[in-house]
Amino acid sequence: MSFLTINSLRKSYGRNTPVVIDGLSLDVEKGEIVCILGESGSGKTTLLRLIAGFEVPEHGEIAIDEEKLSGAGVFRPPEIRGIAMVFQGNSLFPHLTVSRNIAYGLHTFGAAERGERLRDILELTGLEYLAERYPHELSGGQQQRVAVARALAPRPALLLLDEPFSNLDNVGSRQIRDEIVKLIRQTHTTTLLVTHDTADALAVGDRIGVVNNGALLQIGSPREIFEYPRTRFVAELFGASNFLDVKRTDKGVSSEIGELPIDPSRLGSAETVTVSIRPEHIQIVDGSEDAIRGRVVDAGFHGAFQGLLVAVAGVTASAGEIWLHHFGTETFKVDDEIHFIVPPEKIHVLDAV
Amino acid sequence: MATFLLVLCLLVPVIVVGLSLFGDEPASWSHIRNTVLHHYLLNTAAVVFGVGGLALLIGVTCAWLVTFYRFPGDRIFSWALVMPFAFPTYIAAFAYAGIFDYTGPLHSFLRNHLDLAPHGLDIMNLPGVIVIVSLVLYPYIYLITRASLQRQSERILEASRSLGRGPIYTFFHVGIPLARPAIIGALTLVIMEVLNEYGAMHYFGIDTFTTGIFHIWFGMNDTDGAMRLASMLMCLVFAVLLLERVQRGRRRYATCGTDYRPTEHRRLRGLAAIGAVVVCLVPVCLGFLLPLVQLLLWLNQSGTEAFDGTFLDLSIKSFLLATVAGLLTVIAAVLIVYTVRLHRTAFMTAISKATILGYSIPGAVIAVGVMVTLVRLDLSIINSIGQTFGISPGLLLSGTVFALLFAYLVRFLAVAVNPVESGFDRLCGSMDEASLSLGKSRMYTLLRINVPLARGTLLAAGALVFVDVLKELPLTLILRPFNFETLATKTFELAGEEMVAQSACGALLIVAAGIVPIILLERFISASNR
Repeated sequence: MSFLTINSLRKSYGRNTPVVIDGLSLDVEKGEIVCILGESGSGKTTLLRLIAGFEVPEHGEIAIDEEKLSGAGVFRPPEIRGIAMVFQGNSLFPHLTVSRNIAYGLHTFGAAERGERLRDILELTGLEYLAERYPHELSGGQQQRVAVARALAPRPALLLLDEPFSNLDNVGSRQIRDEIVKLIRQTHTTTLLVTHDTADALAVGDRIGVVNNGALLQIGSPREIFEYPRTRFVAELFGASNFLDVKRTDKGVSSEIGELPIDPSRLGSAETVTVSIRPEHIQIVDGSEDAIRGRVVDAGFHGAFQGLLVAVAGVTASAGEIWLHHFGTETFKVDDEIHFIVPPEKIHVLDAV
Repeated sequence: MATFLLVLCLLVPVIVVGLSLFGDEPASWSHIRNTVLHHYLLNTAAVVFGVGGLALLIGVTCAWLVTFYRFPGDRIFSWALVMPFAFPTYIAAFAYAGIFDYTGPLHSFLRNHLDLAPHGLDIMNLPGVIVIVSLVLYPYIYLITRASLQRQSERILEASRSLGRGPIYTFFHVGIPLARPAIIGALTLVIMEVLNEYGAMHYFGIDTFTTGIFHIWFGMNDTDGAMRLASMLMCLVFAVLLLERVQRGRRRYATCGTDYRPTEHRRLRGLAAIGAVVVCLVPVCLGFLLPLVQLLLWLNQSGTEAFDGTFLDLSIKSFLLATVAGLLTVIAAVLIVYTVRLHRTAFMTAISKATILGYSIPGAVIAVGVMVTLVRLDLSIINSIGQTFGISPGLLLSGTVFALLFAYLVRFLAVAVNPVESGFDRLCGSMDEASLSLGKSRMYTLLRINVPLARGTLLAAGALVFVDVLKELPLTLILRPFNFETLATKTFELAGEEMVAQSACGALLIVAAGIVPIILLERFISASNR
């Protein structure tokens, strides 16, 4: 049994409004950091608020350690759930100093233990030198570290983070992100983090769950999600890719850029499927028999690589086009002719819709 | 610059009073100090602490219940709790004196139906005045606390809940502290109102600083002694204001957050719901319904004889006067607050603080300050015109409606500045700067950004001034042009001549007029919260 279990959760605000969370189920193991990735309006913040107990679900259950928190006549108020939430933006108490903000949730600790815990947290987070400051005297990054420290102080069973890095400026944000994640790892706190930033999700999560329209589309390790997206929506979240419709032919499998080296059995029973080929996986080769021949239509330099849009002529009336990233030292120009191959193991077949 | 001149003009009457502190000690002063001063001080302190504490208790408790809970009638209570505001303290005092009078309804009922002749029912004393004044003044605290609680970021309250604190702890340790500047601001208004109170104290025979000033001034014809007493009162208020500033310390309360979710409403059931209804019902009944019933009984006694054509004339004049005064005061308040916001220099802040001191000075003293200033101005105008053209234009400013409006502005600027300031305080400073950086002028920014965003508080400020002007008694009595009557002065004169029943008509009209802006205000606030 998982630590946090969410079972067919459903939520809408009022009768004639669209469903915000639509039959969502999710399991989180103890000590795990799970990133919920989704665009704004996908329902991810509502999911956190349902777990924290700020919203009542219409249907479904939420339980921690097999103890039911929401669902079927049970609703435990947020203050006795043992779930700490870090809100988007600044939610520090403006009238309390940093140390009093952090000590705010320590009422369940004994008097002596309370001081000790406060000192520990201040030391762990390296916030001692800010202890007597007021929130408005801190930088955005410092405020966010205090917010996380305050949430972690009472040793919550579960930590919820709502877009914790979105209000930070770009330069320092990665450093603050890494510090915050290190802190969560050190305390072995089970964490659910909501973000719209794929880079954050890939760097932080043990697992990533992709949410859209209130439903969980796919969940898995960052590598799984990145390498083997099940749908075009998930694949597109992780940057531009080439999506090609392929179909079975007598000779094998063909697409708008010609024959592709795919084992026809991977198509399953479907007649046509969509495959995803990441631009960085396509290799430019000297003219060989297996290679596909094309002409450069667009070229742009990206520092580490050159991005090329290649039109493959002569296959269909409207020529197929494909993006590829060229990491070699040679520079291509528009109208250059090139040859490339697609490694079979890098062709990812998406689920049939 | 214009703001600076405006502030300077408004300060003149205050300076006139302040200077009297440094003048020679009036001959009568040692007599006043030795005989009545400590008596005035003790009574004033008792009324200030009593009314302040009681009004705070009623106002904050009701604001909390109405903002965070659902219970039977909560929507009605939400506005009904503001209703006592329509009662000027002196009218409430007349009404209560009537209720508890030996021939009044309470005693008659006890005598005739229960065969009792109670003697402990005298309310014409210090505790009586404290309770009555609190019942009429608590809406200041209720209104401002409620507005502040409603505007609090739900996120911050939720953060407290997610840290394991229940709703009641959250209210006392996060909700109240965040609303504290607003509550203290409202409390300051109540204290100033109490210090200014003349009608009720005079009627109940309580000797406070203010009645003392009147007594020394008009009873003993000792203007200098009265001015000195007033300047001492001013120092006291200045100390209170300073204390309020110091206790804020380094803390900030403005939230620059983006999401103002509507605050959650918990439904109360059973005993808790009954308790909430009772707590809200008591101030509405005692502060509004009971004195209203007494006025209606008097109206029934006196019949329609008091309600003639001059009454319509009187009402229209009073309403116009109050509307113009409210408008002028809010405009002045916005200019001052915005100027301070743009130039956060210690000098500007001090000057704006000084202007609202007008409210701490009893209306009668301001009236004399204005009178003295304008008469001097008139005389110099008459002299220069007389020298140039050889004719005398007569008094131009003193003894006109202009003098009255100017005095209202000096007196009630604080009523408008406090809410306008808290309304502007809630706006993120970066919004102004964004507008300025987009090439808009300061005036454009004020009119297109600050004023629309703070329009709720501006309207509230205007309504507060309107009601205050309508109720205002001593200042109007002294500064009104010859033969110029308002509802307030007419009512007070009738009540003073022991024609209490006949005064009910005017009193009811003042109360009714006070209700209109309250209803508008309530509508507007609830609409802008949705």
